[in-house]
Amino acid sequence: MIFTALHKNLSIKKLLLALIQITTVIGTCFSSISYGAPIKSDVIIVTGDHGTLTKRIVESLQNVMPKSEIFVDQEKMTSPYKKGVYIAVGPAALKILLKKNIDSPTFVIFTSSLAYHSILETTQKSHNITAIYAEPSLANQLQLVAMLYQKSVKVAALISDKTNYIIPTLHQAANKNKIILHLEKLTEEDDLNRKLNHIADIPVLLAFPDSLAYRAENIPNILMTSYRHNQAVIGFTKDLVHAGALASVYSDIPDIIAHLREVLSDYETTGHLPAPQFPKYFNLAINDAVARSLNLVIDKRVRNFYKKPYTSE
Amino acid sequence: MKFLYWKKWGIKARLILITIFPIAIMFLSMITYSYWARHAEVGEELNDRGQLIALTIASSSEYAIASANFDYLARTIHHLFDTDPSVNAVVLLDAQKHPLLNLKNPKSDAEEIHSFEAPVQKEWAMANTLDQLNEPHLASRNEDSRSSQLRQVIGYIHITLSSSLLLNKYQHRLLWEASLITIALLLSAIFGIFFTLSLTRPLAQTISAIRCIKQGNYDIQFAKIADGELGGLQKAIADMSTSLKAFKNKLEEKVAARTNALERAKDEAIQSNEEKRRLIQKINAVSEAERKTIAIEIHDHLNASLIAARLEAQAICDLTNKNLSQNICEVIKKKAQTIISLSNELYASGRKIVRRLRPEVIDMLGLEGAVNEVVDHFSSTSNKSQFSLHIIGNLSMLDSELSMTAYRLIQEALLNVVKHAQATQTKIRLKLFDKKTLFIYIADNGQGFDYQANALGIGLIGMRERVHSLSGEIRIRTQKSKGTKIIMALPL
Repeated sequence: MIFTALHKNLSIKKLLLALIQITTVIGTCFSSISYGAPIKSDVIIVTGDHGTLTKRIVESLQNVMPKSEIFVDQEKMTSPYKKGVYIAVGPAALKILLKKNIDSPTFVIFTSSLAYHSILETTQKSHNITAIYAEPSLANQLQLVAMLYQKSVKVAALISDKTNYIIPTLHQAANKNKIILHLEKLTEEDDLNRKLNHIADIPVLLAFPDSLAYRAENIPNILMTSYRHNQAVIGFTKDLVHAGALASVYSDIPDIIAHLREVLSDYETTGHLPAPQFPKYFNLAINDAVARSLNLVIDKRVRNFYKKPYTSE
Repeated sequence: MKFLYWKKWGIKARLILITIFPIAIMFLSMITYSYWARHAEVGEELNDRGQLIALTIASSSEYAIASANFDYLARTIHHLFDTDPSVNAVVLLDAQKHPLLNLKNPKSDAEEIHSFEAPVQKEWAMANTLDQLNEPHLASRNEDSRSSQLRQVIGYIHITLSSSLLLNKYQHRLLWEASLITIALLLSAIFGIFFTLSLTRPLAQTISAIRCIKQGNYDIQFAKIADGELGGLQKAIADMSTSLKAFKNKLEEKVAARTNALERAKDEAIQSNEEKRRLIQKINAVSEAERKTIAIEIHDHLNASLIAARLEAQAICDLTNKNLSQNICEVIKKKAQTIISLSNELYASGRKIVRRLRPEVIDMLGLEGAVNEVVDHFSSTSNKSQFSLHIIGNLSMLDSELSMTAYRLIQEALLNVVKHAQATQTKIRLKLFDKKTLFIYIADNGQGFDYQANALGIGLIGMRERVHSLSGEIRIRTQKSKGTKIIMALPL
């Protein structure tokens, strides 16, 4: 088509279209290269709902693992269960697999760390299962904070009983990025506003999935309070940044799937199931209006803070 | 109520009305509409403003209620009071409508208060917080997994607005509008009147010119010819007046010429008529004189000769009585008697001729006697008709010419009655009126005649000429089968 356009001297529009196609082909090639070697094991994808998001995820998984088998609802999954690698898409699929008591290695994706831990606690099952969490890495988030403020800055975080498990990770990431961490304990009896007022003088509030603090009904209040106190909120989804948080890294479907493929490939190579981890690949979302209101200048270095499967580290 | 008869209005009045009436209607309509619209606007604006302010404050009150921190909200409301004095008070209520914050605007008056209320709703953010367990968690924005926006009423905002400020503002505007429209109306009226006068003045001049033309004054000159159609009309009228004047002059010349000719003809006719009358009169006089002369001559000479002859014949007859032969005497006696008889007949005939030529009785007894005599004559000679005569007044004072003329008229009329009327009754009346006029009335019950067909008859012509020769009047009334009446008036 390009040669035809060149030969026949067609319009710029068609030339641009051709260039886009070339770029896509090259990108796909690189993607396939970065995604690694094909998965040899039998892959069984389990979902817990019929939603559009689930379908998109499954389609993306099938593109990468065409030979995988898909179970949309648990009724079709009958004992004896097939041997292979199980992929649970979402918390509902995780519950199904745990209920079925399938012993095969299970990779849980598109599930927050809190949901993952909460569901596992109910079943007391912990081995032969791992996860790639849905929320961004706390280390990346704190690195982002360090890049934004370009100095040692104090960061507050609301911790409940359900999210105690991340405290070590937080400290580690804070030390790495020279961030002063302030952990504010939150219980069900506490008044969220009072807690927010208590940490109002801390420049940054690090948010991560915790239903006790961060629920849809509380978000406006948290954002309004932080705005009034000139406090930046970092995390943890693109929606939150759009709603008024300053910035966050986040992973979309190709990022998670690319990471999953690597993990699966490593598992096939080593036979060793990796520990649950945060997503490796991520994008950056910034709310420039909030940045302006906080008098923060977002430089190029911050805007280029992302990691894709085909980019070098 | 005279002004209602607009069809009787002049052009000026109509033009002024045409100019002012629509503007006046528009003025009244606009003022009325503006007044009504302003009032409606006040209500609508107040309502809209009230709703807007209530909703705006309600949307800002969520955090205040949630955090129980009303300072920020109070500052916002005070700023609102400063900027909008129409806001009278703002009350923040909780979900059970217990007051949490009550602020009043010190600058607002408490007149015409209107209340508005809006709920304070807690809105759940449409943000993915990765806490749903029935769907996959995705940190990037997901249109599909957005939770529906839920709202919960956590309080109420109750505000009161005063409409007096708004009303004053709109009334002020209305006043300005009315003033501007009034000025526009006056200017339009002035323009209308000015242009009306610019039309009616040349029109009045034109009408005046036409009136002058109507009155016969063709010297039309317009001080200034107007532009446009009126100017064309004025030019046309000026040209028309010039043409009319020339035509009139020509016509007058012709008329004058014809009048002169007619005058001359009339004079000639009058003169001719006068001459004719004099001629007729002369002829009549001459005729009468001639008749008289002839009658005298006949009487004096002919009759005298006849008398002499008779006397001689008588003498001869007497002589026969003396001693002549009997035969000769007889012959002489017969001859003499014959001569006597012939003489007597001749004498009688002579007397008739004399009478016919000129009645002696008119000279001896006057008109009254002559008329009696002629009436007796016709009565005796006509068996079918009866004649009655009635005379009032002393006719002896009439002169001979008048008497003779009256006699001849009566004679001619009675002759016609006898010849043509076939009447059985004939009345003759003579009356001397005021010693100035002699009225003669002759009426019969005969067959009448067609006056138009017989107007040129010699007898009637003669009667008319006799009457006119004395400057009298004659009237003849006649119809077929209805008799004839002749009335004559002869001035003394």
